[in-house]
Amino acid sequence: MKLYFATDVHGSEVCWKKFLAASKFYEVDTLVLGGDMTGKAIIPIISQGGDDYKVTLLEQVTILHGKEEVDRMVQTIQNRGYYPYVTDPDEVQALVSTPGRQDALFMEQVLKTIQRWMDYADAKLAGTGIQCFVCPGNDDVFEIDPVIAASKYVRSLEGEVVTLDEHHEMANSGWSNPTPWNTHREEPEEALLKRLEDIISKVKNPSQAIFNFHAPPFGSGLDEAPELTKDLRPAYAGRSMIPVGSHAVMKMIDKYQPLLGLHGHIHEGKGTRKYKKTLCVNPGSMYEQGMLNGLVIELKPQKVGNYLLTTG
Amino acid sequence: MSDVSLFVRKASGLVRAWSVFDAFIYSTFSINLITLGLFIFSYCYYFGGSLISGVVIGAIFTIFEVIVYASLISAMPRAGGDYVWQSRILNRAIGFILAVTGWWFILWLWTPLYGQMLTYEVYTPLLAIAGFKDAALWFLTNTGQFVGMASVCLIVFIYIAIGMKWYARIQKFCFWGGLVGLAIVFGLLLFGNHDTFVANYNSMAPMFGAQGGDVYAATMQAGADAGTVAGPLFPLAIGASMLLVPMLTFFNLWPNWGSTLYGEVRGASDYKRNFMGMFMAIVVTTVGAVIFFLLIGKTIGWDFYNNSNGAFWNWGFGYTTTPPPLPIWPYPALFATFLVKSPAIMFIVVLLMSLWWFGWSGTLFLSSTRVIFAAAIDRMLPEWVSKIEPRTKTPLFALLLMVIPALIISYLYAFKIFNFNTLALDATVVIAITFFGSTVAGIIMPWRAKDVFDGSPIAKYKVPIWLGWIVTIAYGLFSIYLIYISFKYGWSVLSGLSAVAAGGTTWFVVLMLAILTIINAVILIWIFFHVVKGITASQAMPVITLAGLIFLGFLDWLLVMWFWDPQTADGIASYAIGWSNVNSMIFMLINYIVAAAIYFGFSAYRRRQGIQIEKVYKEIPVE
Repeated sequence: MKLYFATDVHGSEVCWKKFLAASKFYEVDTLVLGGDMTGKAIIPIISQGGDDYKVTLLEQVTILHGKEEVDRMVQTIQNRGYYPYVTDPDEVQALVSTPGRQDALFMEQVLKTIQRWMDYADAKLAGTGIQCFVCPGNDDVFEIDPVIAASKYVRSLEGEVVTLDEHHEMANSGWSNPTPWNTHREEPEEALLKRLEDIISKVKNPSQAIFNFHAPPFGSGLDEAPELTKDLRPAYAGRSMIPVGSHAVMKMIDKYQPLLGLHGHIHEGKGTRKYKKTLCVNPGSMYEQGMLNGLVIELKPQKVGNYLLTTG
Repeated sequence: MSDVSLFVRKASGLVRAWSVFDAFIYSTFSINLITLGLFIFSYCYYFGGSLISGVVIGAIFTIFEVIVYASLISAMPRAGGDYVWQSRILNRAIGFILAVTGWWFILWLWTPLYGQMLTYEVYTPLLAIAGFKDAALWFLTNTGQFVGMASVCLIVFIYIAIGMKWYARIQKFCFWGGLVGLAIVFGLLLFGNHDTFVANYNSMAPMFGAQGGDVYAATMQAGADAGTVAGPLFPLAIGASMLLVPMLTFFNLWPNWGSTLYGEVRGASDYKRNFMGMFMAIVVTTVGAVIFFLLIGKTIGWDFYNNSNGAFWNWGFGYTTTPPPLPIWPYPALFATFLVKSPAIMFIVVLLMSLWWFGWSGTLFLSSTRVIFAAAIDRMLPEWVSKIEPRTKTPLFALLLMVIPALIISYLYAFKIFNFNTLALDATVVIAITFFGSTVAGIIMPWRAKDVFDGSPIAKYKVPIWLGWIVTIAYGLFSIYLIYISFKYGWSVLSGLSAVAAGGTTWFVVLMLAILTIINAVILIWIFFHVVKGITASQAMPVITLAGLIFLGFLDWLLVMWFWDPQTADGIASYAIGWSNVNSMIFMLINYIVAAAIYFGFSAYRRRQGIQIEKVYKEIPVE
């Protein structure tokens, strides 16, 4: 079987569309999206009266004139992974000053976007026979799970083991070890270890399995991120790179030696690493540029076949 | 309130702004005044014109390089630099071949250069000051030079083994320590006087292997015999100084070395930070160079400095069998310490100055190992090259791919086989060609990678269309000039070959250059029309395109000068790496042939394996 894996699209509309189009482009029969599907920011498009709107994208202020320009900007913002929100100065004021308003708006935008993505996927995948799996990651709120569960053709796999074909099962988790941002699906290494053990216990033949674990193994080189100062600034202008992956994931790889480890989480950590017979891969992420980093891989009985990391 | 433009939620990766000063430190090490700068200034003894003008002109054009690279980094961060920019925007073969030659192969040649600087600026002066004159002078022998070059590999290996986390810390320590050393050197030169320097030079020279007597006068004479014609610092003589510029790029073309940081959800400020880090490095280093020149002129004597260089290199290149009166490399920082005559102080100051070398040398294989990894990830090299040795956590195989060829080239360089010791500037040329590729990518990016550009922080950086047209037309006119001079130089060389009964290899090299000259003309014209079409359609001139056109013109001029190598006023080949140095041309050609062989060979091999290698950078079409 031939599988395509991408991860960390973080709300990028074009990356989601590319993910679904990858099946045809790379001629694969299974699509797997690693964690962190949701965006990190809302960009307000603020009415200035009449047909004029003001938007600040990437610290660049733009005045938009009319619906066509607004629609174009909405698409640009969505493709970059942010949530565009057409609003007015009063509502912006309320968002700033009312506790909980921003959280509520985020939730609304996240769910609306995920629903749109599922609708798009259902339309695209209908009748193709393509398997499509996703696995929310540490940055993803739990509320998206039922939205995905309601999809006809996209299956969410958190905590599950799925049989891909007669030879290969895939164990899945989007949970990560602790981050400086205290995100939604992160936990101490001990708890993560237990979680992963519980999932793997459902695998019939771990040595033939795929571990789709969002966090990369600690010290693998797939987990190198800029060292941060106490106030979350990259130290030494980002040139000091340190391993931030998961010891629990490393232990699981070491203990069970699956065929393949699929990871993400650390966008800078693009690469492959072989541990004994396990090939671990982090395709990295360039979602902000609308580029979809991914892995095309053949799975053969007892072994991994050809593979290629792509920038699509 | 009206400033609210963004709401962020709890999510990983949202970091705050990083320090421009830290980026400045890294960039300053990359255009290292003490190592690269002083090394290449010492080569300039046979050029007329003013070094001040040469350094400043080069720096001005390098600012446009900084704009292009800061823009590319902001638009396509975390992409792996030149390799991915070119692969994505131009073509995968171009991206691979130019990145592999510019960031991997040619670093083999940088190893002996780093080694020479290590022996000239660290081993020899420190050993001599410590009283080990014979050991110090041994490092100037061919074997000693080779040992110095081999020790570079060991030092860099240690840096890579300890990792970027510790190297970044060492670099910062070296920066501050080196700065203290530089301040002392400047202070000594500022408050010292020429007469004291001459007296102390003569009395201390035997400590460094001189025979004694009036070594100062003997050095002046040896320099004159070597054909030293260096111009004074003033007048600035802009025209006469232009020939210096391609020489000086050896030191000031590299502010962009390794800048790839980018923060999520912020955009323009990171562009500005990237730009400022590199820009300030150029400005501060250039100002530092000018101050150094002035202080050398004031206390050491400008003529003496250049004659020292002439005497040293004339012997080093084998143009004379008479060694220079002072057999060591004329290191201005060491000369400054002659003013105090205290071996303890001299040792401390030279040791502090050596931190400029130690803070910079780690970059030698860092970029190369990254490119090797990137190529392996793209399946263009075997998987094993990116393996990490578990005990030392080092990419052992990637390092071996650097170290073994680097040692071979170091041996050729140290023992002057095939005149490898004349190829120093090749190390700049090959990387400049890589930058050429990225600059072309930057120029056409707004139209060729429209979606990426439009969604990037640099999309809003545009200049008025009238200015765009002025720069485009100026670029077009300058392209005509470049085509004219390259054809003129080429014709002059071709028509002169028969008269000198040139050998087959020379003919081959010149004909190859002639073909490249035609290809270059086509590229220049193609870019002109591409830009005209682009700005006509969009009625806008992006800053990256504007800066790219200016920098490309500069780079292209450098390439014409390096390859066709016009003669100085004294009838000497200006850079001695172009058509008249067949070994240089063949060496560079071999680099490109090997890169192309790897590219096409591995592409074919992967296709045979059933891997869709051509799709590695192809954009997935969205229906």
